[in-house]
Amino acid sequence: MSPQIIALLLEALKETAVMVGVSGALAAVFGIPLGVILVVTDRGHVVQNLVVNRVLGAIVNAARSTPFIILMVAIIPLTRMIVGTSIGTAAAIVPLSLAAIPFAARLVETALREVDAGLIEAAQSMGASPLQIIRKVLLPEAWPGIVAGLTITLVSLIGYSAMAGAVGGGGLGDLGIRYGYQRFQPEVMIAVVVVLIVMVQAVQTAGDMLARRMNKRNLSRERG
Amino acid sequence: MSQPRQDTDPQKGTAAADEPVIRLEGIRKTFRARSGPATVLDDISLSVRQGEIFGIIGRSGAGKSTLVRCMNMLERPTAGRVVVAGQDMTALSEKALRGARHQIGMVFQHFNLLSARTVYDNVALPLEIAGRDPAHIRETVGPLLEMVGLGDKAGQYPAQLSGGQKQRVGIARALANDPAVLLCDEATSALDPETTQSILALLKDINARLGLTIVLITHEMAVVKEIADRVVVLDQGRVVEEGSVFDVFTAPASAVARSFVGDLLNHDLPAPVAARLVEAPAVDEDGVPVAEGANPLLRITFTGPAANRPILGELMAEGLLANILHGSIDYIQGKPFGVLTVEVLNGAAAMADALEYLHAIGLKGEIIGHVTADHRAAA
Ligand SMILES: Nc1ncnc2c1ncn2[C@@H]1O[C@H](COP(=O)(O)OP(=O)(O)O)[C@@H](O)[C@H]1O
Ligand SMILES: [Mg+2]
Repeated sequence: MSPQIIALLLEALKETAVMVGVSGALAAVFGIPLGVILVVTDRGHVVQNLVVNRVLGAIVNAARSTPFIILMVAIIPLTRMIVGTSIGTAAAIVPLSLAAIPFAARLVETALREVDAGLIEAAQSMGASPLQIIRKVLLPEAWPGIVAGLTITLVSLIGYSAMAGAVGGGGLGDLGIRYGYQRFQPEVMIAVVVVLIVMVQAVQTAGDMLARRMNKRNLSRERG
Repeated sequence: MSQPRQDTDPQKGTAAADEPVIRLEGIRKTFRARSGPATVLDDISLSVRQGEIFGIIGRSGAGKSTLVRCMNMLERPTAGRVVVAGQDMTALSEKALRGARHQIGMVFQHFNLLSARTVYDNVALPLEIAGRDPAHIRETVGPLLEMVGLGDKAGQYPAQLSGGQKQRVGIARALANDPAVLLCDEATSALDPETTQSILALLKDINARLGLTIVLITHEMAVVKEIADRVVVLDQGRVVEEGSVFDVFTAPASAVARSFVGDLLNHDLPAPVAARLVEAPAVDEDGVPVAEGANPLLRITFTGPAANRPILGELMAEGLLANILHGSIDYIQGKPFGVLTVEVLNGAAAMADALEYLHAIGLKGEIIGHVTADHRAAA
């Protein structure tokens, strides 16, 4: 492979990392609170509010059932408003984040629902406020599950980012399409796919490790 | 051990010491179920006195957990009043209620420890929630862990502990805010018998050393018998019996209480004796059998001061000829309680004399059946 191609590859990798990193961070920053709200406002939970719960649930479902490619095109006006353009890496971050936030929120919600109701009851018996229950019980107990959910989100974002790249977002997807397909350089296409595979593996492995380290549920007893 | 106290009218209790730690007045709880409203607690009134271990026993579904959850208002009663340490819980705002809960410790059947926190941090949790400063938390947690025998486990996670150790953490945690009362909902029901004993011993020790009032919810009479002072028997959301553990145990009035006692004290006749039971023979006007070939079974129940007398020897001296078939003796709150079943071999007159003698010294004697007299020949 020529040095130019390698340079292009590194540049594309950087763009993809930025797109995935920034939208992944936004997915965590907004998805975690959204997941928390979806859980605690549900029936019988610490701050039951069915109106908020059903409305947010419906929005999340709508966003999640919209195919990414359509979402990307549909929100072009919004993207222009935020970043000034609808083309390039920065512009791709808007639809990527918008797709990732509800996705992450549902996974966070699932992780939070796994927390034993007995723990919430115990905290309530100690006089904990809803906020204390969220901060001291729900989130700490759900961290391993939340980390696993965010890992899945990042992996999905790597795939979506390639799609975003194909329509002018830059990054590995863009490189693969332009050189591998349009200029017919299959080795570039293969290199792109390999880099993507390595990226996904790295993210998944790191996420699994982190989640396992955080999980104190399966520690073995020292003796007897 | 708590001091035995006179029954006082809770309404007129003027001195703070006479005020019960928990007073429930006409508690009713109705859940809206799909099949219509279900009344789970029906007009429950009771008082838990300062320093006692108060047992609440009932079969599964009797409403015990709902009742104990009403005591700290995790469940808001449909009607009635809950007064804890002089405070009307039913009248408090949510915020004030959270403050009031700091003085009510709760221990759970399944421990409910946070898996992500170490033993130390689990015990620190209620202190953090109550907004205590870090210095106070440090001073409190260590000694508590020592008290429950887990001084060396502070840095471990719950997953690394046995069931008994987990419950010790649960107890230490419940004590962290120095509560006025400890509520235990089936605290030993997930533990094996040996561990149950050690946890009950710990609770009894805490009660004795700190003078802490304990409410003990259980479906096992053995637990109540082991450490409780008083007990209420709950059945289908109602209090069907209430009294000192000794009284309820030795003279259960309700069918539910009788079945609980029966679970524990084996009053049933051993199978070989039961196999010899015969239809009641003809009796004379005193209820004493007149037929030949069948011997009456006399059951003597030992309670009260006469329980320590050598009854059988005395009856023999009175002329009774008896064959011991079955007997057991138990100690409840340190007082002996025994049951002895004998076959009377020398006829109706001796039997009548024996019943009269037992009656005279204040023991209960009853004829519970008849067995064939010729069993030795048959065997
Ligand atoms: N939140 C609830 N909604 C409807 N029914 C309930 C609820 N909690 C308890 N019950 C019912 O109340 C009855 C008593 O339950 P519980 O207090 O848990 O009994 P126990 O602890 O004695 O086994 C049961 O029939 C149970 O199904
Ligand atoms: Mg229960």
